[in-house]
Amino acid sequence: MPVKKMYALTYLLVFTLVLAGCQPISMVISNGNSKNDEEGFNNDLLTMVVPYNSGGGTDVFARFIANPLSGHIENQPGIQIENVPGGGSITGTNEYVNSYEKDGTNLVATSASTHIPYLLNQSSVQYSFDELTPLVGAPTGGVVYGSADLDIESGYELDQVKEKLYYAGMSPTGLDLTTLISFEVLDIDSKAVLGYEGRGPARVAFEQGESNIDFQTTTAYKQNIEPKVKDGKAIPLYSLGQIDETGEVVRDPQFPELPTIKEVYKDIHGAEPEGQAWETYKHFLNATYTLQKIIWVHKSAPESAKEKLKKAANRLVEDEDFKKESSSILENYDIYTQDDLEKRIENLEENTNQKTIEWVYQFLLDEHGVDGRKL
Amino acid sequence: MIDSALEALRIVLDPSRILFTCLGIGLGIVVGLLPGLGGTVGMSLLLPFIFGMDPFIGMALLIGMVAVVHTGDTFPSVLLGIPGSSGSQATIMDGFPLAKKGEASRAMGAALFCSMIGGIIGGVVLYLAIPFAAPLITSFNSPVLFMLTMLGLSMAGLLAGDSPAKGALSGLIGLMIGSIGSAPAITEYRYTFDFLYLSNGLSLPVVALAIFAFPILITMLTHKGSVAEASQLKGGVLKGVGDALKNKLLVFRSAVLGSLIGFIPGLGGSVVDWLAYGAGKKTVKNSKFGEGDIRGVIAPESANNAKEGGALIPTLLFGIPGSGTTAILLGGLILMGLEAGPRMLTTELPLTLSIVWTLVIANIIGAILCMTLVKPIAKLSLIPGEKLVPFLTILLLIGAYQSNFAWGDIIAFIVIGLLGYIMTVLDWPRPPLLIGFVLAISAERYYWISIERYGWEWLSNPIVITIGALIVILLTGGSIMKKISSNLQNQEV
Repeated sequence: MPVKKMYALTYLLVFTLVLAGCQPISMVISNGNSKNDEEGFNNDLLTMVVPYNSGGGTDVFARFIANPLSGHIENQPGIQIENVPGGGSITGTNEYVNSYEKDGTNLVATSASTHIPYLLNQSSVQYSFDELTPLVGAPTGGVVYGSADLDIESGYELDQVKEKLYYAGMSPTGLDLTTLISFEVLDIDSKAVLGYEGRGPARVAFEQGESNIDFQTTTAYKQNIEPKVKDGKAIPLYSLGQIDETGEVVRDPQFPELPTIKEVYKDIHGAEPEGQAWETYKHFLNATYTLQKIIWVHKSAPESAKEKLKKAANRLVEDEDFKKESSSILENYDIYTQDDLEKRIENLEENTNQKTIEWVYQFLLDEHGVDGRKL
Repeated sequence: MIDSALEALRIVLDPSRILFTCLGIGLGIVVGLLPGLGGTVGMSLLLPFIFGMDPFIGMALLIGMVAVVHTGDTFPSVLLGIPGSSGSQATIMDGFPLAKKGEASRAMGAALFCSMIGGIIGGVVLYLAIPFAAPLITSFNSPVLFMLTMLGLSMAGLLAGDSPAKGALSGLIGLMIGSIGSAPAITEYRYTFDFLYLSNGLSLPVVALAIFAFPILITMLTHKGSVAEASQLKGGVLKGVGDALKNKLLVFRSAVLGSLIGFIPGLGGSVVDWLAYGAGKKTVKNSKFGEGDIRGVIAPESANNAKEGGALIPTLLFGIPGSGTTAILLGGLILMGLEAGPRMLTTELPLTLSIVWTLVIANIIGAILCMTLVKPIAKLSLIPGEKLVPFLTILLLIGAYQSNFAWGDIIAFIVIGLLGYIMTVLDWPRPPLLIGFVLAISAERYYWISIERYGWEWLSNPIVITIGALIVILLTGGSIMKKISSNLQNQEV
């Protein structure tokens, strides 16, 4: 009976619409309540928004930091993780700045893939580092390595490679971007084959010979590539390096014996790297590696609440137990003190200029056929 | 390795660990049983608790849960025709007609028994694959993976039912829905209409639930009356077990197929039940698949539990998740201070072996537990549909909502559900749509990579040619066989 079927359909539709209708109402209520008073902060419960699915790198980082961090905050409030996945982490971060109460009880954890769309000025991004105060930050590193078939001993001989270079990556606007710019700086002519599902599959592609130049972040490199280096199947070429307080590229503390891209450049070209490509590289290296994971609070949160959180973050740096326990998750890097972190973010913001963005847009368009303005 | 395997068994059987395995099993059965919730939800629920746990205990909990999700999810598939998780849709095809005939218990018995055997075979495959896993996985390069996705897509043809044209169209619609969102290689958005929600594409649970469960809700309301048309339930659990034993070879075949598909990274283990169903349909004699053939329950159920064992190989050794569930498992490993990688086979070998044992043990306990539940739960099929609908609607909406926690999930659920309903009314096959949806991104990804990396050279790869030939045989084989047999019949006449 078609009539009865129509009834059923209508019933389901109405039901869902009612459910959907509840959403804006609850949002209105929560916004209405946002008196920026101090009381909110004495709550027993803080919320940490993680704009990624549970089980991912940033989620693990956030869950790991939550407990020790809360231990250093007055009253030791619990910190509850709230995953808001989707839109490559843009959805959750937008939601954090737009609809979470700015009373200092809500934190957000971001990662390189949250930072890149912001640096590229993507239209869907509604957050800005200007509106956020960083609390805890941790770096990661990256190492570029090549296959033994390339017939070279180290990164210094990169200009003597005769084989065609293939690089396996995920997307030109993800973490690969920093590595791709590093190739541009060094003038390495490699064919970037993008579209792999993640760093893991890209590593398998390297093992199959589908690619012969690749990079991995610190832990993955130590776990999977160092054994291959020992077997003579892979050769470390250079580390992406870290950005120090003065904004210069220095050796990665986890790979003190590996030359950075800067040293390799100097050896090959006989001069210090300079120019827009180099400036852009440093900018992205800073935002995607040196400042890879950051926990923030709204900048407009009450000062007293922010002070308490900042103090807790600083105490966390000195916490010896935390240092010991965190070594595997933080890949043996140290977290930054809050003051240091805030300065680094300020520097990053100062270095963001139209020239850098224009250069990246041109690079993406020329090399990968992606129009950055339309992202 | 046998020594270490026995050592691992001793670790697993430690009372405190068995307790956690049982906790995991309990949760796994519940999330499997509730329509719409699956292994991914179970994992997310457990993740906060395993933080800092002893890896053996944490793994007992997680693997115990994963092992039985596809045991518990059989209940709603058979009894209500609603997939219990996105991995048990093919069970509906014959399980639900059996429930309508009042043979729910028999179908459940067969399904649970096969789940158990499948799970054990999956564990054994995991164990046997440990020594050659690394060379095997690196032998699948992008062109081969692309051809495998094509092979999967051509399986859609087997499930098309009477009209191949409708099946092909349905598969194409699936491919189109699958291409929503960001392209795999270039940052380019398709069919997103500037909605941020769509930029990552639709999630599998939303599409799978919508396409299969939504139409059932409507039919339940319009048809009145209970699922079982016969008022008395006949055929017990044991009869089902007997059926499974009679089809030993099918069980074994499907389970091996399941673990192999789970093992190949990037192929989307989520359609393994359909592939096993399709393969079963093609290879058994006198198939009445789709009308309540018990073998149509046996094939997918043997495969979907076996998949989990296979999928753990790339996850543990390479850090490449084979499914949504194993993706979260990777995070769980890190929280327990471990990292997936080659070390899982050397220094962490005992842990890997304990996972094998947990898989096997959990499957046995889970299946036995479920069998005792069959009798009371089978009565669900006697309850009038309209009384079940409100309960199910809420569960399904929650199930859809948990994929992104966004209102877009519910809107997508309704829109695709309506599409599913229209397809049922017009009698269009829905499985091809789902297979197309799941394989869309993989197919595009590996095609793109093959061309980018090798140009057209990859077409001359011998494995590519072999799989290509297999696809041609699969697609034409059926009709050629039919012609031959009808010719023979004509001659006899």
